[in-house]
Amino acid sequence: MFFFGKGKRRTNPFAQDKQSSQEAAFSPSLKTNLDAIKRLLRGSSDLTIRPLRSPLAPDVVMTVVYVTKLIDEATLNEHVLRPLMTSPIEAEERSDPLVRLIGERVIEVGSAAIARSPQSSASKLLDGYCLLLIQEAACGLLVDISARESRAVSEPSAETVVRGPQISFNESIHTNINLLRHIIRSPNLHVEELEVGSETRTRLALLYLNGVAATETVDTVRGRIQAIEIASVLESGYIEALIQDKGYTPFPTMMNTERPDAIAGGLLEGQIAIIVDGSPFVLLAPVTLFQLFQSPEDYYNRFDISTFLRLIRFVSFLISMTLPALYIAVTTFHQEMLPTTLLITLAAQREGIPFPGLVEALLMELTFEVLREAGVRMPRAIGPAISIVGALVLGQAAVEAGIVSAGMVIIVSFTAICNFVIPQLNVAIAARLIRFSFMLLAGVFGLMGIIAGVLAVMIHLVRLESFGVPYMSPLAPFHWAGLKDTLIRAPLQKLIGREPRNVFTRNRKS
Amino acid sequence: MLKRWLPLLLPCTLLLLLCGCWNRVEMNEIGIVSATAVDWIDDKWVVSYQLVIPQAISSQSGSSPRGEAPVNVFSSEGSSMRKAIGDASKEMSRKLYFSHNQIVVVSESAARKGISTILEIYMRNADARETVSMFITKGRAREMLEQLLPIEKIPGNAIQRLIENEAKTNSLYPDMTIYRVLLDLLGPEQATGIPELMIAGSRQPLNSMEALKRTSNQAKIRLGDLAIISGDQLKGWLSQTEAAGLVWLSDNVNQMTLSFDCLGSAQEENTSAARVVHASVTRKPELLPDGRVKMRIEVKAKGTLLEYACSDKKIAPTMLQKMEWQIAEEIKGEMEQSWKALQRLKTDIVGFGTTVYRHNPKRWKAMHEEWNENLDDVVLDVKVKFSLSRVGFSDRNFKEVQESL
Amino acid sequence: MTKSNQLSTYQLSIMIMLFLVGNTPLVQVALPAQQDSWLAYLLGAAVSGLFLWMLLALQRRFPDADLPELFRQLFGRWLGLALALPQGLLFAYEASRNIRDFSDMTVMTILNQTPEWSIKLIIISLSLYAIWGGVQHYFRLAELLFPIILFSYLFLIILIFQAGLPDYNRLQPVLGNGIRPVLQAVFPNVMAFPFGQMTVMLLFWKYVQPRERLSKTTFGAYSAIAVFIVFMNALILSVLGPVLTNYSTTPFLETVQLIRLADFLERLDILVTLLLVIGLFLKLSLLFLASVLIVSSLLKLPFRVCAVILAPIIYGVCFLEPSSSIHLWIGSTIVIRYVIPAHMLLLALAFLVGLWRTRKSQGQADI
Repeated sequence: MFFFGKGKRRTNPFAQDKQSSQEAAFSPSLKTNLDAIKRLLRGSSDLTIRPLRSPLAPDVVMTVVYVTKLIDEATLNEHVLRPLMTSPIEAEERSDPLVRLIGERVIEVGSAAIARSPQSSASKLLDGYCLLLIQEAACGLLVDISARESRAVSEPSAETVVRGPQISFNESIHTNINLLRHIIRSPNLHVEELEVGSETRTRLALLYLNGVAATETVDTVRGRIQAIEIASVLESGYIEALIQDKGYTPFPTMMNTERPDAIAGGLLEGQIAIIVDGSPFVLLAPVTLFQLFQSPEDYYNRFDISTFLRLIRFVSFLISMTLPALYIAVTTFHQEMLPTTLLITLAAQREGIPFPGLVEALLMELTFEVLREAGVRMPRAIGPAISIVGALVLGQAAVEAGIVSAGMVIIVSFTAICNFVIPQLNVAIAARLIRFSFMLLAGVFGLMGIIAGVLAVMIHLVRLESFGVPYMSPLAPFHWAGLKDTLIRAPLQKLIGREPRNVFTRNRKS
Repeated sequence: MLKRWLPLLLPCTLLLLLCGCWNRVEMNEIGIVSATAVDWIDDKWVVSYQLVIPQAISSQSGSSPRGEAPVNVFSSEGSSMRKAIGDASKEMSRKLYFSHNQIVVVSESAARKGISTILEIYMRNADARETVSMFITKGRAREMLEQLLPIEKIPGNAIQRLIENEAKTNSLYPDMTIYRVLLDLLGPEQATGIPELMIAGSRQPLNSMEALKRTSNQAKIRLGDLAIISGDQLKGWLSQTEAAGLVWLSDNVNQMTLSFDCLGSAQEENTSAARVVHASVTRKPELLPDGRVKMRIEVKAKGTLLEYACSDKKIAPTMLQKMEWQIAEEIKGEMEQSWKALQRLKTDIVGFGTTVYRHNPKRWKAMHEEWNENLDDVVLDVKVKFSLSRVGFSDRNFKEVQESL
Repeated sequence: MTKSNQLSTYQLSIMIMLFLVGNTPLVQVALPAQQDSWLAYLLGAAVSGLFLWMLLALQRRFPDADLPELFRQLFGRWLGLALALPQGLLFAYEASRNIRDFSDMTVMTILNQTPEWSIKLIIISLSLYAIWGGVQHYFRLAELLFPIILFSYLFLIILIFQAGLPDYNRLQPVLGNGIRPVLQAVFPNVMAFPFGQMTVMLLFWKYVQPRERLSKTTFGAYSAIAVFIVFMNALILSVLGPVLTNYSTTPFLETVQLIRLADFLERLDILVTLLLVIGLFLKLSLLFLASVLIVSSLLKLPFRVCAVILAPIIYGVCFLEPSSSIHLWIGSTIVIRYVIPAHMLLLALAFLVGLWRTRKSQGQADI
């Protein structure tokens, strides 16, 4: 449904008609130009063509063309029309030089540029510019008077922290770049604007810190973005999917976040940020697995609590992947591992339960996934009802009815909670998916199956690379300096000034 | 390339799962055995199992009413022990699960036949643990499994905790796990001692929940004498008094409570008590020129005073010294008494042979055949040094305080 | 950045350590020496250390060559191929033996009703996946697994001591039976396994940067792990005593089964199985990788093609022995006594030839 046309026309939708070659440049005839513009914009009804006469040159017919819904009326009236129509200057030039004069001395708007071709003007018109055309001039003046509806800068919806800035990106690329520029006020912050999507012509900004980010990585990212051929880009997720490294993996190789401070931190470490207009989620590449477990709060709080919380996150990740599988393996294959009293308690619980352990576990897990998805879609008003239904009815009643054992309910709930601890949603998703294969392996081969699964996951992770950076750095390949910030968080004094700082910049030296 | 093969791999992996989960066994399909008993009756091995009934024990709601006994005992017999265990499936709806087995009780008749079969099974099979405690009993071994113990839920566990606790706090017998029995029987002397489990009191058995509903019971499970095994057969018994010194001789003392006289024969026997907190025993063999062996044993022990029944006024340092000497003499006496008992039975279970072997392997090679026979030729040279580090909160005997008022 | 097959010295040392540990605690080869087997291991490590020195010297003379390349340079194209190819097949055979060990051990301890073919299939598939990315990716896997194995062994050792199990008196009398049993155990048993299997490193030394540190790193890792193996052996002996150690087929497992702590930390032999699984897996994957490298270099076929061809062959070979006791017998008598020493002799020969060749090329007179 969401427009996955291939978009073979990589340039712009304007270069379609037969007359395109003839519309390569403005002609001196005003009428021709206006016709060209109208044709390029396919006769859209919100195109306004406003003729006017200016005291600058009373004999010249001038026209201001704009798309009504895209411009800011006040700016148009106050700073374009009024100066034009009340200009005290008496110009002597006509045609092209007159346009230049208007641009230099009359128009009171920041961005005013000469336009030479109807095609580029048409695309600018769709960006909220207005085009001033005058008689006998083979060029026009493009003035930026765009207005844009966007959300106010507010709190992040998904990544709240206790201590730290509470602002998040919003959908406007300008706001987002604004926010970042305010955090990193260095001249080294380099912003590159690109456009992707033949129909949506979505604006993209590539940001990196000159001198810190590795140039090969920047080139790779830029190259991959420019190679995208698609009709529409509606969210940064599209970009992520289209430029990430080849090969299937459930693990994300790019990070996305709503928080400017997280992006700024990444930029300062040599990573590259990709802001996609229309999405508050900004991408960061390249990324290692351990970075996906970091929360910006780690750096604002003290190092001891941050280390502790980080370790909890890792352990929670492991638990959320393997706990149900371990439970199945231990209770159905390796009962000798349990202490005798625990075994007896669990065995007593299992009496009368109709399903084998694996089936019970899968049933509970799938039920929980359904509950979770329902909770996301549920309108706010009925939210609490879901938790009551889920917890009491499904969990407790199922145990009392003897359909599942109490131990299993505990395991499933704890696993789910551990899943929520992971800061990055896409890593949590990976854990959820892998959990099911672990359960199946455990159900057939017991602990050996889990070990085989863990080995398989490790092999997979070790082979993964994100834009050339090994995914499991700095554990494998081993990079001593980087260890201070992966599983633990060393005090700030030790983190400052380590050189080379991390894996993203290390490659720069080679 | 992988893309071409992926469609082939997936069904194959699924096929793997369809073949079934071979080793999977649900918890309500296993019969958890907490204690095993081995009898030798009518030329057949009779193996008994004490099965735990989980619902009767756990505190889960919705389980069967409390009145049910927590365990159930049944037996099976066969010409070989594993066959007997295999034949248990004739009367049991669940697969017997031995990994939580805590004790194995062997009857005297089975022990006289030879416990090598049991040890062989434990070594060979993966599901049999060597941490299982071993006991001998004079009657039928199965009876031991049928007894319930007050306070404890699972008798098998309880008995193992009993011997563990005893070995740690009273040091009468060490906890003879299969592992220790193996080490002893495969060591140079090939002899060991295994404690006895008996039912003391009237012969009213404690095998029903009715019995446990009363506050006191007529019969109880208790540790009895010490069975001496040589080779793999039961050779004889040592009473508890005779066996008391064995822990000293074999350096197995953890903590123990001793009673001792105050000043020798003038007082009543053994009215005071001290607790040994720490003991270290060094045993050195010395090969005498006439071929005999002299065992130099040095005991260094530390303890506290628990009960003071002497009539002397205060516990002065000289009194302390006298007491320490008394205690040392007590220990020495026990050791010598035990050694005499061992000599009577001609079995070295305290590891003297091992010390000789470690000291001089060549001489041992010549001696080891008749070592057990020639135990009379071994001379003990015991030196005990006991120090009372603390005497408690009072320094006088109660009666004495009364009389002085 | 990762295209060049570069290994760091850290990766090399980890790999050596994990490879040598492998399944060594599981297999007791120093049987004749009884309570002195730890001495046998010590001596064996020293003797094989000399052999290792020789291998390193060989590598130093031809720093950019791995095993097939080395043989090609030393013996010419055809003789080199004839001598190197069997070595590749030998590594494949050893990998296959390890798979067999693995499945025997698994079936014996924890999965006794699961059919062997499925276990072996899983292992060979995992192994294939592990080496699919080549040398670099495989060594990264070892790096990742190393801390886990290290901490697991430490944990077990601490628990063994906590349970009060070791009694160093059981190691006495030291050299009670004279030095002869020790020597019997060293030549050829301990010398060949595990230390003689270091020949496989010849395939990876050329990738290590920086070159100057190669010998030091190798010897450092080798000595560290030799000490560890000797220590583990002594530990097991001090817990079980020499007789029980020889009587049991898996003494390390027995030792760990005895750990009982606080009434809840019991029956930890699953942890041991896990350790042995990972160790065996790493070892056999390295051997598999080595054999693929040799075959692909000699027959001029691409790496992945060789891997895919060798995998089913290895899988098939591990079914050949009809029972586990025959498998063990072949291992202890044929492989350890004849095959591996023959391999070591071949490499000694190569060393001498290399010595002669380089002396000649340097224009020095022959002795």
